[in-house]
Amino acid sequence: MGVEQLMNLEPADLRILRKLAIDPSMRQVDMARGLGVTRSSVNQVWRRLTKSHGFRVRSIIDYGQVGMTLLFGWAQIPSTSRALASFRGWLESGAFMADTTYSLVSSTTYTTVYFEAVLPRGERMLWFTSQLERLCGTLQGTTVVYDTAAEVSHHLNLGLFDGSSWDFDEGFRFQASTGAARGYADVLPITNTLKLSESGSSSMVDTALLSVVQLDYHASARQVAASLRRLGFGKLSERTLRRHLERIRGEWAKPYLELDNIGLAQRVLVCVENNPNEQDLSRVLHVQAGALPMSRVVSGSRLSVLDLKLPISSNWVALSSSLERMIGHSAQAIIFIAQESVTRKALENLLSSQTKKLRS
Amino acid sequence: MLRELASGQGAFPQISTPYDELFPLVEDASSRFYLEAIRLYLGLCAGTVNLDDALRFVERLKENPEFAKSPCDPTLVPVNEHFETKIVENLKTLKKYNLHTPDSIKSAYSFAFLVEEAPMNEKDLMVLSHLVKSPLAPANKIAESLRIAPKTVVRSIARLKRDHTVRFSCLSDNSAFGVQSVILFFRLAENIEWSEVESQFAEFPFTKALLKTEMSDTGYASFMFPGDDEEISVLESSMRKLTGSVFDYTSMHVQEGASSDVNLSLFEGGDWVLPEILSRPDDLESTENAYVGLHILPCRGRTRGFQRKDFAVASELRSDIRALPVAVSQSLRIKGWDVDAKQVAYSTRKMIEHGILEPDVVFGGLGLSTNFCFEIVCSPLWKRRLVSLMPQMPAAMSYLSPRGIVVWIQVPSQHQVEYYQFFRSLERRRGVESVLPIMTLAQKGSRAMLDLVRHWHLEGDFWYVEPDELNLSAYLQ
Repeated sequence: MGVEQLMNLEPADLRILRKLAIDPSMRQVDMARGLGVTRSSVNQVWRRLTKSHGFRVRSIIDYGQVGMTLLFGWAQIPSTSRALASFRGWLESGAFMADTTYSLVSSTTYTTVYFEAVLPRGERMLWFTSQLERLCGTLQGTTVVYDTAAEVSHHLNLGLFDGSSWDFDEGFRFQASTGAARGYADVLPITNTLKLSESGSSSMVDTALLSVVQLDYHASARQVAASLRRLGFGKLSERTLRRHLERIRGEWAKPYLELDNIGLAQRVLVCVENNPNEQDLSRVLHVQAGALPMSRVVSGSRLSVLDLKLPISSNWVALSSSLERMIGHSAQAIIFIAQESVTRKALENLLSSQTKKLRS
Repeated sequence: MLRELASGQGAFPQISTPYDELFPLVEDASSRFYLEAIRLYLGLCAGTVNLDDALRFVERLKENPEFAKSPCDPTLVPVNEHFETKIVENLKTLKKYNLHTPDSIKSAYSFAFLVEEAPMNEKDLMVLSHLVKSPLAPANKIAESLRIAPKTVVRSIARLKRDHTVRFSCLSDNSAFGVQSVILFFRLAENIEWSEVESQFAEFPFTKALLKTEMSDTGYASFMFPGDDEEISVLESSMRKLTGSVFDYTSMHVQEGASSDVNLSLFEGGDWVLPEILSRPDDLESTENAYVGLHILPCRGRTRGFQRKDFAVASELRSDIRALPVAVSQSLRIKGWDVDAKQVAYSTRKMIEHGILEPDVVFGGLGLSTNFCFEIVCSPLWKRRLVSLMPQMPAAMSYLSPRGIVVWIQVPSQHQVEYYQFFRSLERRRGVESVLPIMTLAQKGSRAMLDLVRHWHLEGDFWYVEPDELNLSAYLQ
C-alpha cells in the first residue's frame, strides 16, 4: 500500500483541525478568536501539522470558469493482456492527464484504470475523446466510459477520529442511513461541493491564479506573484492580484483540508454508472461521503466516482456491499482497492507543461 | 419461553426477548425469517429459550425458503455481549429509519455477526496453537503439555469459542457414503438479475451453499447429492445448457479432496508476518514433492461399513467435533435421528480412524479479517504445487477437483494486496489457465449435510436420487 502512516494527533491539533474541517476558509486569526487562544499558538500548531502531517488548505476549482473541462472515466482491461500495457503507456504520457490510478484488488479478472484529464473545451477535448475511443476499440476485451464532471466535493470527517484511531460504521448503519437518504435526496443539504461551470472565458492569467489557489487556498498576493513569474506571466501589482484572488476564492474555488499520516492507508474507488433517470444517486453520494473518514466525489450526468481513504483495518468488502445495496438496480458500480495515483498533476503542473510547449 | 403468535400470522412459535418493542411488524416470509433468527439469538442471550427449544426452532426456520439462500443458524453463533449489542443496535437502526424491506432486515442480521477483533491473551493463544495442531486434544493433555492447570485450559477454550468465534470442525469425505460434492462457479449473463437466480438456486433441492457478493457478477453455488458419474453428467449437461443464457461463464468442480490449514507460526509478537513464499514465488515450482504427507482428505469413494447414521453423525460433528456424544445424540434426536451417545462415540472414532473425518479448527478473529476465494483452473502439477502452498497461508481451505483447485484464504487486511496479487499473478504461469477472485464476507454459512437429506430417496440402507432430478436447467430458466 502507500506510504501513509499513522502519527497521532494531540487534542490541541484536533481542536483546530475539527474547526477548520467545518469551515476550511477560516484564517488563523479568525480561528484564534473563535477558540479563545492567541494567534501565535494557532500558527505554531498549523506549522507543526504542515511539517508532520502535510497539512494544507487546498481548493476544489471551477475549471469551467477558465474554459476548461474536467473529464473523468474508467476503462476495464483484461489483467493479463498486452492491452493493459498499451493503455497505460498512452494514458501516462498524456499531457492533459491530471490523475491515473489502477485497481490493486477487485472481484473481477479485469484491471480497472481510473483517469481524470483537464482539457481545454472544444477541439482539444474532441481530439482526446476520439483518441481514447479509438485506442480502446483496438484493444481486445476493453471497455471505456467517460463523462464531464459537473460537481466535485471533498470531505474529511474528523469527528470519527480521536487522534489515534478511527471509529466509523462501514456496515449496517451506513447502509441504512444511505438508503434512507435516497428517499429525500432532492432536499438534502449539500456542503463541501462545487458546481463546475459549463461556460467561461479562458484568460491565461485567471487560469494561472486558479492554479495557485488550487494548491493553497490562502496563498498571499506575494506568493501568487512569484508563481505567475515562474509560469512566465508578466508582473501584476499585488493590489490587482489581491482583487483577482478575492473573486476567485469567492466564486471559483471551494477550500478543503488535506492531511496525511492519519492512518488512512487504504484507497477504495467506487465507480458508478448511473441510470439517467436516477439523478438523485450522485447527490446521495456527495452527501453520504461525509459520513466516511476522507473522500472525494466527482459526478457528471452519467458517471460518479467516490474516492475513499479508509483505515487499513476497515472492512472494505462490507462497505462495498453496503454501497452496492444502496446503489441497487438503478446503477452499476465497480468497486476496488486502488493504488496511489500514478499520475497526479495539479493545474499548475499541467499549465507549466503547456506553457513550456508554447515557448519551444 | 415459546408462545404462539396471534392468529393472522400463522401458528409460528415466538420467542420473547427483552427487546420485543424493537421488532418491526412484517408480512413477507423472507423478512420474517431474519427477524425470527434475530429473536432466537436474543432469546438465547437473555435465557428465555433453552438450547433444545432453540434447536427445534431452527428446524422450523429451515422450512422457510430463505434458509437455502442464507443458511443462518443462530445456535451456532457464540452467545456474547458484542454480537448482542450489535444486533440490538441494528434493530434500533431499523426502527429509526423505519426500514421494513427484506433487504434491510437481512442486512441488519448479517452485518451484526461480522467478527470484530477482541484482544487474545497469551494463554489463550498458547491453547489455540495447541488445538490447531491437535483439535481433539483433551483439556488435561493440553494442560500437561503447556504446564498450566486443566481449569485454565477449559476456561481458555470457552473464551476462544465465545470471544474469538473459534469452532472445532472437520472435513468429511462424503464419497465414503456415496455422496458427491460439486461446486459451480459462474458469471451471470448481462441483464440477468441475481435475486431471481438466487431464488431459483434455492429451490434446487441439492444446493448446499451460495456465494455471490454485490461487488461482482461472479459467484459460486455448491451442491451435494447421492450418486456417481451418471448423476454428475446430468448436472454437467444441464449447466452447459445454461451457459450463454443465464450465465456467460461456468466452471464445474467435482470434489476429489480437501484440505484445511492454519499457520500460527506467521503470528509473531501479536502481528502477522508474510510467508517467505510471497517474496520468492518461483520457489513454488519446486514444491510439488511436499504434496505427500500433507493434511489432505482425499475422496476415496464408497466405503463398506459406513451407514446413514454415520453420515448423520458426521454432519453434526462439522458444527462441533469436540461436542460431547450425548449432546450430538440429543441434537440428532431433535432432527428425527435415533443415535444414542454410545453409537455417536463409536461412529466418530471409526470415521476418524478410517480417514473419513479430518478434525480442524476454524476461527474468524486474530486479525485475519480479509477473506478471498480463488477458483484456479490448472494442470495436475500446479494443483499439487498449490496444495503444498496452503500450509504456508495464515488460514486456508482448499477443494480439489480434476479441473484444478478452489482456495479460500483468510489474511490480515494489511497484507491483502500482497496475497491477492500473488494468487492473481499465478495466471501468468504456464499450466495455470485462470485465477478467478471472489471477495467474501466471512459469515456466510451453508446448509448442513443433514438438511439436504430430506430431498433424497431411500433404497435399502442408503439414499439415491433419480439422475433427472439433477437437471439444474429445469430450475434456472
